[in-house]
Amino acid sequence: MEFKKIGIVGTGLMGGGIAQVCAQVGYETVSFDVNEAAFERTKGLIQGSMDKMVAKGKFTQEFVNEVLGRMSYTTDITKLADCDIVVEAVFENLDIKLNVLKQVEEVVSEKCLIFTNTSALSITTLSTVLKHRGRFMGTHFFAPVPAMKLLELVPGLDTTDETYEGAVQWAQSIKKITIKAPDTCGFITNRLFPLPQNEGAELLALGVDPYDIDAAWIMFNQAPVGTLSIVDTGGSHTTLGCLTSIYEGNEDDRYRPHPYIKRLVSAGRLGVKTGQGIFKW
Amino acid sequence: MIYIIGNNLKSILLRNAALKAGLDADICESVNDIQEECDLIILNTEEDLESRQAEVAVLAEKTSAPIAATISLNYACAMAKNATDKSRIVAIRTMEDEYIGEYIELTKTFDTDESVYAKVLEILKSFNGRVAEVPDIIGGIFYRIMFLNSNMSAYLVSEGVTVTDVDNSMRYGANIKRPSLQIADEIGLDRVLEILTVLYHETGRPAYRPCPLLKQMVNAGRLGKKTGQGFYTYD
Ligand SMILES: NC(=O)c1ccc[n+]([C@@H]2O[C@H](COP(=O)([O-])OP(=O)(O)OC[C@H]3O[C@@H](n4cnc5c(N)ncnc54)[C@H](O)[C@@H]3O)[C@@H](O)[C@H]2O)c1
Repeated sequence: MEFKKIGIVGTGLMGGGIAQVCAQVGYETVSFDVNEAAFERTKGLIQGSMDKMVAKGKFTQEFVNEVLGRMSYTTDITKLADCDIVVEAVFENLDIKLNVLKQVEEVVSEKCLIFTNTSALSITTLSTVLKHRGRFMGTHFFAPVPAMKLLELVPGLDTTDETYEGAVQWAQSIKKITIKAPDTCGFITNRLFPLPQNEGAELLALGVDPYDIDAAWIMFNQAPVGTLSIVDTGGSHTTLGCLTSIYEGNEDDRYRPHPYIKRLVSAGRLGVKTGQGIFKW
Repeated sequence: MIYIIGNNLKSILLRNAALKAGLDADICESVNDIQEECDLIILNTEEDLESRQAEVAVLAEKTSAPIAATISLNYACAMAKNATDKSRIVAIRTMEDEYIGEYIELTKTFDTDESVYAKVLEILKSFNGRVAEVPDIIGGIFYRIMFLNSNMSAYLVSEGVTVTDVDNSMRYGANIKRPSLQIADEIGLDRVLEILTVLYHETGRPAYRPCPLLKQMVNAGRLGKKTGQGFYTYD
C-alpha cells in the first residue's frame, strides 16, 4: 500500500504526537480539531519536543523546518478528503468517537484506512458506525508518542487482513514496535500495568512502605521507575479510571479498584500534580 | 559472628553479603552444628513448616542469639510457634535470584522483642542492600507483587497473544528490561504456580488466581529455563 498523507482527528497530546512522528518520516499531515485553541498548544509541544532533539544533536534545524513544513492544521473536516490514513484521537468518549468516525467516513475516499487511538473502548463497537468496517482498526500509541516505541495494533471483528497489513506497514515506517492485541478492554499493556498497582494498594492498606514496593519492583524487573511512582506520575485518578474501565468493560474482578486508590482520589491526592499522591512530591 | 544454617545457594549469597559488609559469617549444615554464641543465626534450611518450627525451638533453647528464619510463603509468627523464648525470633524474606542479599524483607512476630528486632535490622542494613520492614502478611512484598504480571501474561497467551508480544508490551511500553514471561521461565513455572496458588488461597484476591495454562505447562513438564522449555525454548 502507498501512503502519502495522514489525517489526524483531535489535536491534543496524542494527536499532536502522532502527527509529529508521521511528519518526521516524510508523510504530509493534516491535523483536524473542532477547537482552534488546541493547535497553538499542540504546536508548542511539538516544537519543544523537536528543539530537544536539536539540542541533543539528533535533528538539524533544517530538518525541523522541513518537518514543520509538512504539517498542516484545520477546523474543516473536508480537508481530510485525500488522506490515505486517518487516525482518530479525540476525547475518550464513545458518543463523541462514534460521531467523529461517521463524519470522517463521509469525507474520505473508499480506500482510506481509518484507525482509532482509543485506550479502552471496543474497536468492534466503534466500527459499527462505519459503512466499510473492514478498513477500520485500533492503533494504540503511548505517551509521549515520539519517545515511546510501542504501538498496539488491535483488529476488530470485521477488520480485513489487508487493513491490518497496511497498519503494520505504516507502523514500521514511523519506527514503532508493534504488538497484536485482542479487542478486549485494556488490550495488552493496560491489563498488565495496573495489577501490581492495585495489589500494591492492598499492601499499602496493610501498612507496607511504598518506597519498599518500588525498590523491589525496580530491582527485580530491571525497571526504570517503580510501579507506584507511575501511579503518581499519571495521577491516581488515571489509575482509578483505567482499573474501573477494565473492571466494568471486561467484567473482570481482578481490576476491581482497591478502596485505597479510591481514597487517594477522593482526598485529592492525585500525585505529582497535586504534590501528594502515594508519595509526597 | 553470623551463622547461616542450610547448605544451599541462598545461604552462600547471604554469607557473601555479610562478608562483604566486613562481618564474620559461616554456613552450617544443621542446627546441631551451632556450638557457640553468636550475633545472629539465619535459619535457611528447607522451608517445611513443621521441621522449621522444631529447628527454631531447638535453636531458641540452645543459644541466646536472635534467630532469623527465612520464609517465602509462610507467616513469620508461625516460625516462633514452638519456641520457649519467642522474643528472639524474626523472619526474613529474600528474592529468589541474584538479588538475594541486595534486598531483604524483615518481619517481626507477635512476640519479637523490640531490641532484638532493632539489632537484626542493624545487621541486615550493614549488608548494604535494601531492607524492607514488612508486616506479617503472606508472601510479603516480593511474592505479592512480582508474579502478578507473570500470571496475567499467561492469561494473555491463552487468549492468543504471542509470547514475544506480551513481553514486548512491558519492554517497549514501560522500558522494563526483564518482562514477566521471561521472569516466569527463569524462576520456574512450577514455583510461580505454587506462589500464586498459596496467595490465591490465603488472600482470596482474584488477581492471584493461577492461569490454567500455567497448570497445563507444569503438568507437561515445561517448567521454563531449567527444563529447556517454558514460554520460551532454550538450548
Ligand atoms: N494521554 C494518554 O496517555 C493516552 C495514551 C493512549 C491513548 N490515549 C487516547 O487518545 C485519545 C486522545 O487523548 P489525548 O490525551 O490526546 O486527549 P486530549 O484531551 O489531549 O486531546 C483530545 C483533542 O480532541 C479534540 N476533540 C474533541 N472532540 C472532537 C471532535 N468531535 N472533533 C475533533 N476534535 C475533537 C479536543 O479539542 C482535543 O484537542 C483518547 O482516546 C485517549 O484515551 C491517550
